[in-house]
Amino acid sequence: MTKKYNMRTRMMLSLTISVSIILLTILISYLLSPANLITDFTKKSLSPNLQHPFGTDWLGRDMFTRTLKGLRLSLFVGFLGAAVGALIATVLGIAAATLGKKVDSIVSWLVDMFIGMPHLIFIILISFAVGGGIRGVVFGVAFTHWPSLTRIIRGEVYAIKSCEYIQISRNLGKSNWYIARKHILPHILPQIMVGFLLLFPHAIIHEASITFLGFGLSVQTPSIGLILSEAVKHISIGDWWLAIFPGLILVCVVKSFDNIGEHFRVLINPTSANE
Amino acid sequence: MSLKGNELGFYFKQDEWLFRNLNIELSYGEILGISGYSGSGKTSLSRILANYLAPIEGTVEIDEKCFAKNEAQPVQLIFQHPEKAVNPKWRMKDVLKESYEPDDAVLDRFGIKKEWLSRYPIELSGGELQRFCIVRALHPNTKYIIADEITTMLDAVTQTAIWSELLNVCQERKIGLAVISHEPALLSRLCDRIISLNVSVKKLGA
Repeated sequence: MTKKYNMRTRMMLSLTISVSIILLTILISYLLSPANLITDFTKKSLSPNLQHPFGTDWLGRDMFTRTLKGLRLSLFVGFLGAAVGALIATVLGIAAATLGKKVDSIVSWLVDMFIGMPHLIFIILISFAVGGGIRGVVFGVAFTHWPSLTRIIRGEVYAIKSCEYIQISRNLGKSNWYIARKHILPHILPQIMVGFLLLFPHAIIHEASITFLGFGLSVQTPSIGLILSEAVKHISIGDWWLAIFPGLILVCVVKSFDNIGEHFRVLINPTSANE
Repeated sequence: MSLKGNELGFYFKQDEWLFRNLNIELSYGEILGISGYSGSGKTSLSRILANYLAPIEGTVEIDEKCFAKNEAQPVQLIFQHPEKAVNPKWRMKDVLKESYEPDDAVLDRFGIKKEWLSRYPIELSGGELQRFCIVRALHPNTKYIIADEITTMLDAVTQTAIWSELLNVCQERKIGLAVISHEPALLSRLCDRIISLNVSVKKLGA
């Protein structure tokens, strides 16, 4: 197998699997009817069976439906968080590299400060400050996950800033804004894409963990973090399926995103694309 | 009216002067040759004269004024390596459009074919790219052109073709042209006047 297919083929295969896992999760979550979430005490705390593959919880709700619908919300929150984070990183990264030494040292100082602080505590603080809920989680995730991407973009912009064609552009009287938009942005777009994809799993995990800790989404929204935090109370009485399956699916989806980001990074890098 | 460098001095390492107290003047329509060995500061001088580098000593004046801001400089530099001087992600017509929209007559003169316009830089040879760089430097604002070894990598036939066209254009538009090269034969064929950077370096040592 290793001999037969080259790295590219194997990568494309694993990329396809990862993408299909994520798409399947989203698709199924829409197909499942919300009727499965209605409380039904006759089906209370059933262990996994054919009708309820992930079992039911202490209110008789189908765990499979809850998990997938919760995951969809987590994906959405993760997407927003990663998108805002990537946007902040792009703006600050370009600003640091093009707007002179003062801006650069301020941005670098901010990056160092944010990297030096533990993520989770910071997310809790931010999401508490903006009032919790989805907004809190999105801002919390976005404001803590921009620094590493900012560093990459800053370095990348520094490298192409000294290119001859950019100096020529400047001597042809083009403004900084024109140069940033037309010359620099197209060059760093791949880095932004990869950075965004690699932010995604972080965002999802952090969303789940702060909801688990009770600082995130409110109780009535179905989210993975909430399911897990509720499950903790019932694990001690033997309802193992409440935690195992949602946790497993979460790990699968997060790993898939990580896979996509990593592969994307290798594939678009010309020096490693042909290996 | 002329492009003037007054008492120019430049170094990369502290106090290891590449040149110092260098005076240079290029008038309208004049063709000036600048010669020198490798490392004698030819490229640094050309960059200083075209506003790419700030001199450590001295000033550059264009028709008694400083460099313009936010508009195309009257001094344009044509680089030695055309493949580095164009954005690899742009089509050639965009490269030209960044400067101005040249008419077909100009393109014809420099032997630029229509189909090259929609290609990417990587799909053209060095000589073909250099023609684009020359056309790009001929912005309507341009009054002086500094050509930094622009034909070093071309064969003799292409060199002749490019130079004769560039000289014609410069004569028509009264553009001052500084030709930088280490080839004495080329300079003596093209230029009205030749200055050597080697001499000024020797003077410095004394």
